Amino acid sequence: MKPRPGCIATAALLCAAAGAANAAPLTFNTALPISKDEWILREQFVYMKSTDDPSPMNRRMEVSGLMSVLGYGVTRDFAVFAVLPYADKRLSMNVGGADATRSQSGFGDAMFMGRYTAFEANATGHTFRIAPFLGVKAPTGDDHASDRLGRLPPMLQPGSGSWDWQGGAVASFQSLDWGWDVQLAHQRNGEANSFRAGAVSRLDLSVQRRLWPGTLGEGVPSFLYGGLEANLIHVAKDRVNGADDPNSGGTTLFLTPTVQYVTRKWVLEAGIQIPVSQHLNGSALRNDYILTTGFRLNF
Amino acid sequence: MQRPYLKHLAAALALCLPLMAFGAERQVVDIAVKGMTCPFCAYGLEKSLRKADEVDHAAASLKDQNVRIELKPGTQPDIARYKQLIHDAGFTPGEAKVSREETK
Repeated sequence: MKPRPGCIATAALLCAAAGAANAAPLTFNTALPISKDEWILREQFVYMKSTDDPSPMNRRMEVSGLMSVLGYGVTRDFAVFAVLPYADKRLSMNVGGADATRSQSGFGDAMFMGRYTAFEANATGHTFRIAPFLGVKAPTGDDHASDRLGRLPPMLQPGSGSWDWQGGAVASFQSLDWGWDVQLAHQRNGEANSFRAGAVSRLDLSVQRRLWPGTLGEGVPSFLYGGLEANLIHVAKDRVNGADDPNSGGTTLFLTPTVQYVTRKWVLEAGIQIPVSQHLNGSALRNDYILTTGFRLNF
Repeated sequence: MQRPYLKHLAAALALCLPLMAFGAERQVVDIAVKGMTCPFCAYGLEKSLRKADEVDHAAASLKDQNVRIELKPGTQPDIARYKQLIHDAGFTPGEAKVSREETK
C-alpha cells in the first residue's frame, strides 16, 4: 500500500499560505503590499476531504489543519513571510474486509518566503503590482512518525524531511470596487527517506468584487467582498526509490467561491475549493473539497 | 500669608480662560494618496504616518483618496517626511495642502 491521496490538495494547502493581502485571494496570498516595518498575522483553518477512491480499498482521507502565517515588511518593496502549518491527518481504508485507520497530527514543515515588488503603478483609486517571490520549505516537521502498524507513509507524516523550493510571480490589480490577481508558481521538492514528492506547478486566478457598502462613505468603512477563484494545479509523479509512482500526481482544477469581510485592522474570510476537474494518475485519491476559513491581523 | 498667593492664582486662571474656551491652533496637512484601495491598507498608511513625532492623528479617506494629518499644537509640518512615509507604506503621494484649525 503506497497511496498518495490528497497530494494535490496538500499542495494547495501549502501554497495557500504564502502571505497576506488586502481583499486578497483566499487560496493564494502572495499579493499584499505590506508596509515597511509592518507585521501581518494570518491564521487559516483548513479542512480537506478526499473520498472518491478509484481503487477497491475505499480510502478516505481527512486533513484538518491550522496554517499560521507571519509577514513583515522589510522595505516598502521587500516582504518576508514565515509559514508554520499544524495538521491532523487521518486515512481510513478497507483492508481484507475490515476498516483500518491511520492518523497523525503535529507541526509540519516551516516555509520561509521573500517577495519583491518589481513593478508598481499607482493611480487614484487603483493599483497594479507585479512581484516575484522565492521560498524554501525546511524539514522542521517530524518525518519518522509511526503507529502500531509501523512507519507511516509520506502523505501522513507531518513533515517531508526534505528541503523544498518554491518560486513564482504574482500580478495584482485592485480598485475600490474590483480586484484581480494572477499567480504562477512552481515548487520543486527535495528527496528524503528514498522519497521525492512530485513537483507542483500551479496557475491561480482570483476576482473580487466589493458587495458592501454599495456607495463609499467617508473615512475608511469596512468592506464585504465576494470572490471567485480558480486554481489549476499540476503535480508530477512522486519518486519512490528512484522510480516514478504511477498512482500519484495529476492535474486538478479547483473553483472557489469566497467571501471576505475587511476592516481596517482585521479580515475575516471563508471559501470552499471545489474540484471541477481532476485528471489524476492511476489510483490517486480524488479530492472532494477544501474548506478554508480564517482571519488576518495588521499590527 | 496665603491670601496674596491665591489672588495671583485666581488671576492667572482668569487670564487662561479665553485660551481654554477657544483652544489652541494647530496645523492640518491633507495629502492625496494614489494606490489606496482597501480598509486594510489604509490602516497601514495611518500607522506609518504616526511614526512622525509631531503627528497627533492621521485619518485616511478611501472616498477622497487622501489622508488628513493633524499635528500637535505648536509643531510644524514636515511634508517631505510625510510623503516618504506614504511611499514606505506602499503608496504614491500626491499634492499636499496645509491649513490651520483650532483644537477643540
